[in-house]
Amino acid sequence: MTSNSNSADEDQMNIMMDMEGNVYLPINKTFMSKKARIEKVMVKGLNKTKDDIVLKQFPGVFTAENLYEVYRKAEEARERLLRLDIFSATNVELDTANDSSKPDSYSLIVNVKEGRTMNGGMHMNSDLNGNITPDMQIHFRNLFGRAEKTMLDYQFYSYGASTSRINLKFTKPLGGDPDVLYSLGVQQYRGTQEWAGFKQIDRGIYSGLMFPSAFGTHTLQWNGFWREANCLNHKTSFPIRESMGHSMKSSISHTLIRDRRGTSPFPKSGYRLKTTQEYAGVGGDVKFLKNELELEMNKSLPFGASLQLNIGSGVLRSLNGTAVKVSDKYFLGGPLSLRGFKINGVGPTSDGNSLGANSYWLGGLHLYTPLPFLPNLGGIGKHIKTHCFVNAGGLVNVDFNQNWEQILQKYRESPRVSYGAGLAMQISLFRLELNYCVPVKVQPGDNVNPGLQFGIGIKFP
Amino acid sequence: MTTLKEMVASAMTVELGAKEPWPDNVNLYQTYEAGQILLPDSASCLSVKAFLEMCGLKYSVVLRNNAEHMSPSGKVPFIQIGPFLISEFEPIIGFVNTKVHGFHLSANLDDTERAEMRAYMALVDNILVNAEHYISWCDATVLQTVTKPRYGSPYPWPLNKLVPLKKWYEETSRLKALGWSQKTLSEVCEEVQTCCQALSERLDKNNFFFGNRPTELDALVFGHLFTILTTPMPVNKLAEIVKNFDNLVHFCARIEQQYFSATEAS
Repeated sequence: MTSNSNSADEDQMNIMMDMEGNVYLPINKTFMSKKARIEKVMVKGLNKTKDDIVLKQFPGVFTAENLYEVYRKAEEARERLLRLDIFSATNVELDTANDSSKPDSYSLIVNVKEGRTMNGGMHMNSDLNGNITPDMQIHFRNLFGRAEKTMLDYQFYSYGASTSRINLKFTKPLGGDPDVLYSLGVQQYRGTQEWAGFKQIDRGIYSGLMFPSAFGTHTLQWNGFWREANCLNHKTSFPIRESMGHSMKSSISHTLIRDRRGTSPFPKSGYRLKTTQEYAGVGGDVKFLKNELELEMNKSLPFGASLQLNIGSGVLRSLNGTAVKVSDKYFLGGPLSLRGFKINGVGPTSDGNSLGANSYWLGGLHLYTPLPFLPNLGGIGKHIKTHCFVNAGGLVNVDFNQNWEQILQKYRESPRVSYGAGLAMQISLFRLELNYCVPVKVQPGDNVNPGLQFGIGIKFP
Repeated sequence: MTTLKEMVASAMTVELGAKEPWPDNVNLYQTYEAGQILLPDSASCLSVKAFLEMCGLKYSVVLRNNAEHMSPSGKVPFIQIGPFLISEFEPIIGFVNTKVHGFHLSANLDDTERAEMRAYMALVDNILVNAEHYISWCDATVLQTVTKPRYGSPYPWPLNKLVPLKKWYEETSRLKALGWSQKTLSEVCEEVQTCCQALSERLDKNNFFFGNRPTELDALVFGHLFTILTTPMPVNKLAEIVKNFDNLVHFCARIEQQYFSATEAS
């Protein structure tokens, strides 16, 4: 693993990284500023991967002038190679060039191991209600040797609402840059919105571009979806019935995510900001403008505790004068959003069906503390915390013909508030919570769920 | 289990609920007459309207291009009476007969006549209605020039192609299960001929099928025959058959005159 050194300058140590990416560096300033440059790069272990995409992962590697820069460039290249998501292992070695006339010259040797082309998995999850939720995935990585990825994913949830999703997605880094991803996908989604008394099938195509900027990660996406909504049973209320039927949504959306949090399941510091703008009406018969904002802020406190503030809001404005369809509206409430309320049980109702609204706001303040009987460090304690929370939120049907005063007045009348405490668990994308909730401010028509509430869902950590 | 419970509960409300007067704000929902509605739907809408007119019950027609999806049974027309939504001809008649005070068109028929009326209604349902579906969805000319463009008319591209295709699949599967999609056009015409023959003989020279008052059979037959006679179609076989029965044609004209021209004038 270590590169052998045959240089005359024997007091040096080799800069080495192992497979886990741990770097062994001598802490020595004079040593680090020692003149050095990379003479050649050798990549070993390439089989299927095309040369051109690998070469693009070494930008500016020959401009390094001292050992420190050489190390930085090598590490950067290694990270880029890993982000291509085609190698199962990478390992970077720095060797002195076998040319005694150039003592400053080094050659960079990169050993890679290509991952398997096909990868698949199937998980069966079971929740407390005994519902089994299978999730099947098949990945084809590095299909044509340039880090293209094809993913077939089938999920089925039956908790709260029975939902199935089948998704076939192709992604490809553009210009060899692992951070600029083009994606193209087809998807079918079947969902039962029991709270609103209808079920929906969405079938469609999407195509997107993900790229980084100084602000964060941007995703530009076009979505073309055929949506078919049908009443669930004869009890479905009339206002819901009015938006049943077929519709075609063709929209362009822009999402910006700025994530400045730690990587732990429960980050103790940093923030995450997500904004989405969506314009529907590029063809199709659904025309609206949607703006959404989500913010999460974390602050660490003594004794391993941390404070988290969540803020979210969204506004939806119809652009063709017709009422917004129920499938596009906002719903609120549930064990992972506005706790202490039934799933999407907040807001105007008709015959027991939630009608949703064209705007929402939601705030949450959590105090996370380590489990009292488990040590703070490592293991399962990293994934489970106790938390106390206060939630507030509201659904407001904004009439855009009204002035700001009137709209603000509606928001002032809207709040629902609940508080409680419980256990929160975050394992990769899955979020589980078991809480005791007390709704304190409720509006007529809300479906409350005080007491013990269990929630499972997907939350991007 | 819940569905069974719900069914029993809803049946109980209909059974036990006291007879009530007909409210003023009854709406009849259907799809657009111009450019959208198809022959079978148009016929069943007209049957329901004829029935309500014969009872003298007031209603307003509301046009919605998604009326089919709003309907509890997935078919048009449906009526909204207070909290109730009732769709299609038979259930609407059932509702009016049992729930609404003072309206029962076939109340003065005896049991034999009522059974006979039921038999003729079943005949219309089994033959005329299926023939209308057949001509709309199984005849290639009508399908391409009338049915698909009309059924897809409310939707933007590409739904104006996809939605009729989906409906076509559903309709042909249903007709196949009923043994109708395998029939040829001439076989269908023969059936319609037989059905019209039976109706014509029953009507004879009378004004109505039973006695001197209209029954739900009159409403049903009028709705279907009048629609078949008056809807322009590239394949006009069904209308030609009906036209051979003078008394049926006159029956349609008479009912139209009596119940529809007056309302249009007022």
